[in-house]
Amino acid sequence: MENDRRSFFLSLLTLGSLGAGYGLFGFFSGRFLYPVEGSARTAKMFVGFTDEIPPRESVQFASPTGETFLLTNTGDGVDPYQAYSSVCPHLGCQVHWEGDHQRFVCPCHGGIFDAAGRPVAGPPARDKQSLKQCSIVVEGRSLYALVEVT
Amino acid sequence: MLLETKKVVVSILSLFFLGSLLIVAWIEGGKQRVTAAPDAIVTAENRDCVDCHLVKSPGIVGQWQESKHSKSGIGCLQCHGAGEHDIDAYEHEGAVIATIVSPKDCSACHEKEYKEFQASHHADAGKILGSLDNVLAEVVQGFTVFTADGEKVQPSAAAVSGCLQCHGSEIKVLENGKLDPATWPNTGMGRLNPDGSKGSCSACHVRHSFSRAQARLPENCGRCHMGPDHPQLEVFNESKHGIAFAANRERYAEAMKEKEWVPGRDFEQGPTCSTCHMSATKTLPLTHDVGARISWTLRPPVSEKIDAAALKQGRTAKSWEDRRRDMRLVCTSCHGPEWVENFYIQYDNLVNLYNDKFGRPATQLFKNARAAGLFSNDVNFDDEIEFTYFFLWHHEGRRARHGAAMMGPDYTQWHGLYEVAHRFYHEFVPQLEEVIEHNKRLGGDKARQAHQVEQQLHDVLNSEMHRWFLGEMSEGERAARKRAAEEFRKRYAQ
Amino acid sequence: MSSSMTEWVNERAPVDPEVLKKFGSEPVPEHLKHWWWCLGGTPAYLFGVQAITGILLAFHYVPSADAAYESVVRINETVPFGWYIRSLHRWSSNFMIIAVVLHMLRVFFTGSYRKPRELNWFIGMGLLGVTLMFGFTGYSLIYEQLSYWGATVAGNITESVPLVGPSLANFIRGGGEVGSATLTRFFAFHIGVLPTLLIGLLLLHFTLIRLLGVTEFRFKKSAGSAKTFSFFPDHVLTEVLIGVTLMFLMTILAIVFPVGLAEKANPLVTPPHIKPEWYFYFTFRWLKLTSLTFAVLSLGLFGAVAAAWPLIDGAIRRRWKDSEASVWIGALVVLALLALTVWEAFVLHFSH
Repeated sequence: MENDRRSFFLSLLTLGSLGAGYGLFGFFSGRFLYPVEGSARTAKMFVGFTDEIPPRESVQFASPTGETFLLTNTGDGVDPYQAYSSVCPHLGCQVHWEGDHQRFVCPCHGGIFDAAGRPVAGPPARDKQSLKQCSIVVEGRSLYALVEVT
Repeated sequence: MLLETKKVVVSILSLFFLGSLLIVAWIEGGKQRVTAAPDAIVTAENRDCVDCHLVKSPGIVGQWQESKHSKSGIGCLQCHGAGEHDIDAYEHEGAVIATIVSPKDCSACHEKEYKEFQASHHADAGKILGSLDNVLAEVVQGFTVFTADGEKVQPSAAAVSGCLQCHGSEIKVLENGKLDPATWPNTGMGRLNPDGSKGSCSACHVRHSFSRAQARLPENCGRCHMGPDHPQLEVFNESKHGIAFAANRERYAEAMKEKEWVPGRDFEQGPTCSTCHMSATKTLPLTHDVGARISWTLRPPVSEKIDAAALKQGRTAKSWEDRRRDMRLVCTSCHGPEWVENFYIQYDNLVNLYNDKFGRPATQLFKNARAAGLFSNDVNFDDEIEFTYFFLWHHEGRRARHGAAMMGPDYTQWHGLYEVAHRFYHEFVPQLEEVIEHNKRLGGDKARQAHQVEQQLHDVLNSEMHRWFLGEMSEGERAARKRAAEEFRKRYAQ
Repeated sequence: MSSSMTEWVNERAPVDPEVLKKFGSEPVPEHLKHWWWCLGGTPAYLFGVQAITGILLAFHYVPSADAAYESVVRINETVPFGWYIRSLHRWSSNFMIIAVVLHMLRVFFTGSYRKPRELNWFIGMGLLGVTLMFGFTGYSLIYEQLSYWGATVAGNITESVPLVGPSLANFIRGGGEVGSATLTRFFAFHIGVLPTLLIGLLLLHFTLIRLLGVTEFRFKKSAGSAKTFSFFPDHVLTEVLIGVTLMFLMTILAIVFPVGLAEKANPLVTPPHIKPEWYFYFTFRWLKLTSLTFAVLSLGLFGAVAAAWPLIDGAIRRRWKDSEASVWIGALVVLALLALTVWEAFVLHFSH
């Protein structure tokens, strides 16, 4: 009886230690395989000059990976330059900016987004889908967008 | 081995294995993750340019890919794109561009540097058209063709390929939008651009990589600041600063690429030109006004403080004291205050020595003789004495002063005052005496004026600094020199 | 609960538990308790390590001349634990070759290749060849200077093989020269062809061992019936022990001597000293001592003789009963190979 119990215990210990060792190795392998954080590299891409975009106007630009965005000048004092993806989250049509109404409009099914990319009408409002935001950096009079490079 | 023993051994070894894996994890945690260097971004509008030029001029594209501009997608059209009405704009493969990217173009993003540079002496480098140097290039060495109205039809090749390559040409745009070959290519420091701006950023920031590290190298400034008349590069290389840099330049290679390369903080010895004359230090901001920390002007026949000219003309300028104060701030990044203080005393003394002993006397004599018409004063450089005087202040005199300014003692001495002295005593003075004699023989007014100049020369040579030449010396000094000479002879048994 | 699950499985995969038990408790001769005799499982285990680390590496490695080297740099410097997995892979490959050779020596010097096990010897020689090819192709994939030039030299040597040389070289290289096509091919060999061959040969190898049983010995000391012990759990645990020890050893080696990277391959610049991996030193030295053609032919002959040794040994023993000439010949050959290897290593490491 004693021997059996001891034998069982030892087997447990053996399996446990083996499991721990190889298990940790397995964890390392998992980390090894998982795509490296931030490996979708982002870069600061020059878009244009602040004085080239009058208030309420917009300019379209594309990232090196082909994503299209709209950079808008909302005319607001604090943070007038914003950028959002110009691809409608509903079915992928290109939205356009209406400066007078300070909104993005999708011509395909009437999706409308406010100046902050939030859906207010149409299918995107129903499905609560916003326009993806793209960070803008202003240095002097230069406008940069933080876009994905790979 | 018993089964049970084996199980124990396996367990122990597994734990060892686990332990080794923990060490692996620890090493992993301490590792610096190397993220790959970002690539150049080619935006849609520049795509065509890059694709074609990759084949036609891969070097240019390669240079651009090395630059920081390219990592932000700042490419061809951002700099070369021109307005349709720009005087030098032309159509090229569907785009309206201009070849020259002037400092004004760069100022779209680099406004501060543009302003500082336009205000600096560098930007005025192109304004040498009235100088003696220009006479040399266009008349004496070269040949320029003018119309009857005085318009320059054919420039002097000596100027185009020589002087103006450093000083900067005045860009001329031909009728078809092309650039006059007499004026382009040219990245001279004071180039006069079609858009009215002065200078060329690419004089220092080699295109299209625009590397900071490259701009900080002494060789960069040495493209122009070298040679017999202003050997700043050579003086630097001789100096301890230059040696310290040479010894450490490989170690500094990476750090020099950074935005800031501050002496005393990012490196501890071996400043380069840009360090002292422009760079940010722990207490000073970066400036593109290269004269902002210079107190003397070593350029003219007789040196004066750098703000003297402006003051004479009634303009305001940063005072020489303020400039010296700023330079001292740079020096004290690495040197103690007594070191700096004493250095300036030595430097001032040398400049004053040159001024007092050679610069001023030679200039006075020369000017007086010239004004009196003792030699032809309507044409420059047709008399030998004119070359002699030029060499004395423009070449050797400058070398001596630069040597003292930047601690290159061989330039102060053998390339400097030694040659100044020889030039003065054994060429300038004899030539002046010859001119005097010649005019005395002519008689009349000329002879009278020749006598006046002769008297002036006599006064100079009999002055305390020069009377040794006439064999005169104070008794005390004579005795001291005799003693020193004897000791020397004894030591070397010659 | 578990019994109904077992029933469910059994109905669909009818395995007789008795057969399983018998399979697992195959009596293993007592002498296998000595470590010298466990060297067969060792390279098999190391192949497992290679397969796993290799598959992991394949997630990041790019088999193209433009990107291969950079992908290895990335593995070393950017990918988490990349340096460890790669070092493990390299060290394990060295150990695997050593283990295969030691196993071969054991088999040879105990005469375990004799009838009726000749077939297994042939298969084993095949396994040796595949293992060496693994090493060669794997090292070439890094696309370092030595990889490139080593592959170039190997290609030229292959070309010297009579009759089939040039076509064989072209086939292996994917062209007249080492390049991107070579890399793609070597990658296909390394992760496709060779593993399939190895697994196939291994299965045959194991099957034959199970069919024929492990060679039993009549030792002078133990008279009477040989003692045995059970495969599971005893022998299995021995193999597990070896496995864990190896993992520990190789991890330590990966920590202390992580695998680095030399210069990237440059087809325009031949490095002053090209050398193959250590397991090819003997061929390299032999090549330097003789001419190209002679070396190729003689090594080919040597390989053929080695492969056919059971038959040769059989013939010898038919002529001179119970002759142990094999042992002497084997010892001489081992010494010669060792000498050539050490000589080359010495020359490479001490005179440059």
